Amino acid sequence: MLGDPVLINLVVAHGLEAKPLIALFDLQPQEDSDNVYVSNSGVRLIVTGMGRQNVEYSLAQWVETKPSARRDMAWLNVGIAGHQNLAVGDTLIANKIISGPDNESVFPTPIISGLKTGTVITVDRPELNYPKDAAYDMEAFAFWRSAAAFGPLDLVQSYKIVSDNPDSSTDKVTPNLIAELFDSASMEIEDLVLQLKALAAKQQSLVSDPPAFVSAKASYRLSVTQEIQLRRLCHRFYALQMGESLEVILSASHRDSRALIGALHAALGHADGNPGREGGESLSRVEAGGGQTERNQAS
Amino acid sequence: MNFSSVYIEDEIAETERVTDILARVGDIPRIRIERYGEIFNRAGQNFRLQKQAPALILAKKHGKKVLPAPEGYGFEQGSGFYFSHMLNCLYDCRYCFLQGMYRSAHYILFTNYEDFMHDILGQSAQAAGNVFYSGYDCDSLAMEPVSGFCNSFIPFFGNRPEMTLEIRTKSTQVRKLLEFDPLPNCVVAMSFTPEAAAKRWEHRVPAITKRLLAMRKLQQAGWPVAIRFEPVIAEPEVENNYARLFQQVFSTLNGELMHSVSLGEFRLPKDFHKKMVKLYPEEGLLARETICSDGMVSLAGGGAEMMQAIESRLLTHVDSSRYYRCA
Repeated sequence: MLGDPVLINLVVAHGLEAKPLIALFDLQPQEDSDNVYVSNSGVRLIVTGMGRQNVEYSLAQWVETKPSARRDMAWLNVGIAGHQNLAVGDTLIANKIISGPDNESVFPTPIISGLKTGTVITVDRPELNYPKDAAYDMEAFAFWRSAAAFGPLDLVQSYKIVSDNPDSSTDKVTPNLIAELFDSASMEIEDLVLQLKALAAKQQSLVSDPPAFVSAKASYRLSVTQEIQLRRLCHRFYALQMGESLEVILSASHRDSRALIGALHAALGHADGNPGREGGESLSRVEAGGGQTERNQAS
Repeated sequence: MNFSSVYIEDEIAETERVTDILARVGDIPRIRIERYGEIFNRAGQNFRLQKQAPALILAKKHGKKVLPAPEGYGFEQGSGFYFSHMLNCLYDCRYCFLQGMYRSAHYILFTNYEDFMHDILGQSAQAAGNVFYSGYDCDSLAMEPVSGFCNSFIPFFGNRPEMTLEIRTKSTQVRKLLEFDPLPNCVVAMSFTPEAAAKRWEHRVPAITKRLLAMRKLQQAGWPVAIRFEPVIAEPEVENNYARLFQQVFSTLNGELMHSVSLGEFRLPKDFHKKMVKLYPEEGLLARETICSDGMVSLAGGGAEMMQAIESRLLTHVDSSRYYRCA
């Protein structure tokens, strides 16, 4: 499903954390799922349930239902956490996530600007003593581990809103407080999502098929090798500022895909000021890979 | 010099050098790690993404610290070796092989300089007249205000005239070097491409004029300086571009006092080129027609004829005894 328009997956543990995000990003329930919401602005929300096992299960299940989903989306875990030193309502983006039970650490890439950063320790039961200068949650480690296997590691991030600390215990964390905390952090969350969406969009644009390739692919029967060659050739034309030449060559009639690829190679060879050269290593492979294909339809 | 964060290996966190470095990097997040491999070059990382906000990693280098330099890497004076107290570069040159070498764009600074020196001495004990190159996997001077590389390595080589140090750089950070008396066995080698190429492909690199002025200061102070005209990239007007660059260089620097000059064509290991194409599919340089030979990719349109022509022009400025062609 390479046409998946989603740029970022938000992951929360609880419905109370989901509710403000559903409103903020105008998310709608996804058909055939009771814990996934999508928007038409490139945002998806997955509600996993609390604790590491629920996160692992939910994300694995999501991937199972989307086996061909593109792998260049951003992932953002949003949730409340306790903290030893930060005030209720303070926020941070994790730059180190420690699995409390076994002390294993992972390190989200510090690619987000303008936010406070800090350590998050993922524990199996709510931490009431806050022994270290860190945020305490129940999902971040499992989230990061799971999401890093699906997406670009640099675009997997975890954002925490402090809900409790030594001066304000967990029993004060009510649905109303969570709503207030998310409301206060909404601009920051929007900005964070925008930053990650922009990075993901850039990544996706780099690996997306050029439009010229898509139309050529529809017109010619291509072997797998030829498809790779044609995609790269189209990228090269654009990179060399030769988009117009590409259009001209594609709009001309070619005997078959092999002839088309040969014509593209020849044009690039000339563009480099080397009419005598024919693309070095690549042309021989083009010729070896061609032959059995024919054009599907006349252009 | 802005880093998004600084990661510090536990093993070296309490050392004096790390304390000094941390005092110089300013108020940025400090994150303790066990080994730099937890952060650097992990599967799924993306060099281009990380290059937008690279972090500094302070680490200890284990294993071999001094390696044989590739054939034809430097001016022949003896056996050549290189050592890398840093990995990755502050600059962002689109032709640089580092983009294809690592998945990570963070800068690693290995702070156990004394271990490097120990291995340099060990290597040197095996044969006299060795040349040690710094700046193969990094720019040796660009991070000088943070690394304090010169403070450690210049006195070390100063006491060992039988060895030569060549510092490769594109940086204008020569202030620290100028505080020392010049060493005849320490060569500062600066890389240059013509103005058009530099503007197009050498992002964040100081302007040619500024780099030349830095080199002139060093030369006037008595430091041996060298110029590396690398990488030579085939393009229209390449000979004229180099003619202008040579004019600019040799009207600023005294060719007769120059330690050496070299030319080297743009070449990359095939695998690195492939990775760089994936990272920068829109980059014209990487979209050019290539020739692959013995696992190395070079640009069609370059080759011996172009290099010969540029070489001829270069040798009108400098004696051939000071010249070599980088393999």
